[in-house]
Amino acid sequence: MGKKQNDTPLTEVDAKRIRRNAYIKMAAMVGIVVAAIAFGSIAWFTMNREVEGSGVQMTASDLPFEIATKGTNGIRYQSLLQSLNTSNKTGETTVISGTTYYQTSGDTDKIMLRYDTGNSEIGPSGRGQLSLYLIPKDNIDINAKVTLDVQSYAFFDVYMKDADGNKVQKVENDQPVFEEDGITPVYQTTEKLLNVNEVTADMCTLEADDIARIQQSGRYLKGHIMFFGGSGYEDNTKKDSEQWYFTTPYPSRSFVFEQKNAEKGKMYPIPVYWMWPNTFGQIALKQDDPQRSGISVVKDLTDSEVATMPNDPLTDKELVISYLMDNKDAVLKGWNSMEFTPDEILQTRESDPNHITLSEVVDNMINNADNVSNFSRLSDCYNAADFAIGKDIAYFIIEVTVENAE
Amino acid sequence: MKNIIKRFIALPLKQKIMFVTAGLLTVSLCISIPVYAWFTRQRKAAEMFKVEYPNSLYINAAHREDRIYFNLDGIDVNNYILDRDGNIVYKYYRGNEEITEEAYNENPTVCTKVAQKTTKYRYVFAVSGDNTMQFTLQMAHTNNNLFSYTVYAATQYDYPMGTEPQDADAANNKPEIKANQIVPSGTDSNRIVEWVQNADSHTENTIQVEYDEFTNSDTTPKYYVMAAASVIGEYKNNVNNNAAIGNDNLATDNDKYYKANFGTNANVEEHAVPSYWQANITANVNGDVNYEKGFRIDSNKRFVKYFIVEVDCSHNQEGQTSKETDLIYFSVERKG
Repeated sequence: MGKKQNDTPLTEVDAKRIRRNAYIKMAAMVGIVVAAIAFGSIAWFTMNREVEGSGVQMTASDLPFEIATKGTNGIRYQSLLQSLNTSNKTGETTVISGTTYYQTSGDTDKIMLRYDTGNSEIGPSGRGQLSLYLIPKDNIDINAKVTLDVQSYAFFDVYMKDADGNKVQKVENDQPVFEEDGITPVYQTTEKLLNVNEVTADMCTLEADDIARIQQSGRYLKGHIMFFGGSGYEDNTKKDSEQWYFTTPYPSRSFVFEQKNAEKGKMYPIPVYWMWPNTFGQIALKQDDPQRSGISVVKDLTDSEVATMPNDPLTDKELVISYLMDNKDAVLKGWNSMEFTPDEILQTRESDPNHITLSEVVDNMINNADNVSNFSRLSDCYNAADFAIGKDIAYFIIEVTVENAE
Repeated sequence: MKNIIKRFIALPLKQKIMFVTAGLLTVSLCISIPVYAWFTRQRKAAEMFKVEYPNSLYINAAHREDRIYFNLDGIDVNNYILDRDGNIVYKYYRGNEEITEEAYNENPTVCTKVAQKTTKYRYVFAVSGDNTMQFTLQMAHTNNNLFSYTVYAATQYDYPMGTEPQDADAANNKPEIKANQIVPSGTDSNRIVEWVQNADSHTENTIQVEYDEFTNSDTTPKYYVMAAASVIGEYKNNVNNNAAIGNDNLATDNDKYYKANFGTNANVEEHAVPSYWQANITANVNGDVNYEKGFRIDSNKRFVKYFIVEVDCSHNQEGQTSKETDLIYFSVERKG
């Protein structure tokens, strides 16, 4: 609703005031736009793609602890780790009782773990313990959530692109290079080690189905590397069947580390063990069985424990068996194309009111892995996955994320 | 809404600016606090490993030499068995009864002598690898020649029967010879296969097994002694898996093995359909040192096990006048 204007002509002062108002309005508008862009960019840049948001909270409190590592043998593949991701840092040194620890801080939120002994080249039956410590920043109760991940890396021939993002044709002796047909150009490539999940067909010389196969091999590796919270019982004067490697499996790769009345500045080891079991029998067989080659990953069940399955709380063995069932796609290659018996196929017929899915048929096989036919078929799938991993994956990274549990 | 805008416009400029600034700061606080809090709420650590290439099982010729040296040649159904002096060995008969050579010489006209033909040929091959506790050995062969193939475990020795053990004597260039490196006395010479090593023959399989190392330049012979009993295995796809290969016992033509090889083709000659034989071999564990059935793992988790395949050509097809060719494949797969 406009005011009724007088008919008086504008004086110079008036004109100036009108112009000044206009400038102020413009400045205010520009200011708002700039602020919006600036804060939007800051928010975008600080977004960490590797982080899985478990819910954002409006508390401005900092983490009440740092994490640290130590090891006399240094960092495995340090230069590779650093070239892959510049946020991989060596950490800040802290010496406690003559031992040097390397830890995170406000500026360094990701460190590379160290080790004392153990192979750096890992195949089936490889295992180790992460050198991981938690340092409280105050005398408080610690309640930390630890999440584990396995990332697979392989070598790819990546197309070199020019400034416009186009592939560059290979040139030899000043002549452009073509395929045998004389028409298809051969492009310049360079070999790069990449996270298999970040590779697409337009980036490299591989076709989409080869990339998909390699990514599946990465999932097999993630499925085959199992994590545990404690060491078991090993005694090389005893039989294999009387030993087990670990206790406390972490089937979801996540656990809570608690320390009541923690002391400020003290190093608390966070126990994390990992293993790539050599054989299916080491995981799935509930009790001693001639079909098992090697030591079980966790303690076998006693006869009474088998009789009272499911136990409350679940035994370690039951946890790893249900891990197998829940992660079939990542543990058993070709589980849905095994040779099923006519009875097994009958169970899936939809005309049967009690019919079950193929996945449930395989779960029953896993639950009865001591049956010779079940064991043989499932074991073949496990070994086939191992072979795929060995063929397709060059390196893997075990990544730990530690945050405050809610 | 309109009232708010009207009141905002009515504010003096100074207050408008203060109002806008306060609003902007609140918004920026709202964005940056969760971002900052999110950013500082995690610590990460990483450790990198290399994946071992899965070449954990190898099949090679004797003493883990390259496969090109595994030669199933020289199977001549007309070969005569020769004794140590190079003379043909005979068996003597009077009617249907076998008699001694002296008895024959007394009455050569009513007795017969039959030159013995070599019917068994023996070839050595090796299975080795690392990180394997159990494997399936598969032999697949066609049946044009109706030979029978039997697989035996074999033990390797460095010195022939009758060699004397000795201590090392560097001055006279004498190596140590331990008793367990010599073919045991009393071994049936028919069960010994001698293998002359080839120089520089380990290009495919270079893994060293602690209890059986190889040297590239070594060309001394090795001696392989067949076990008394054959490897326990079975044919998977013959008409009668328990009987010997013969014209009435060939591979079936309607099972998964046939389908895998020939699909829906029905016109495959029956002798060309391969027979598959499989055996499960398991590592010895827990101190068991009888390695005839199993195999020995060294401290690096490596092993080597030797086998001898015995080809018996005594019952090949009667009246067969043309040469036939058979294919035979050995393969191993990790099990368990």
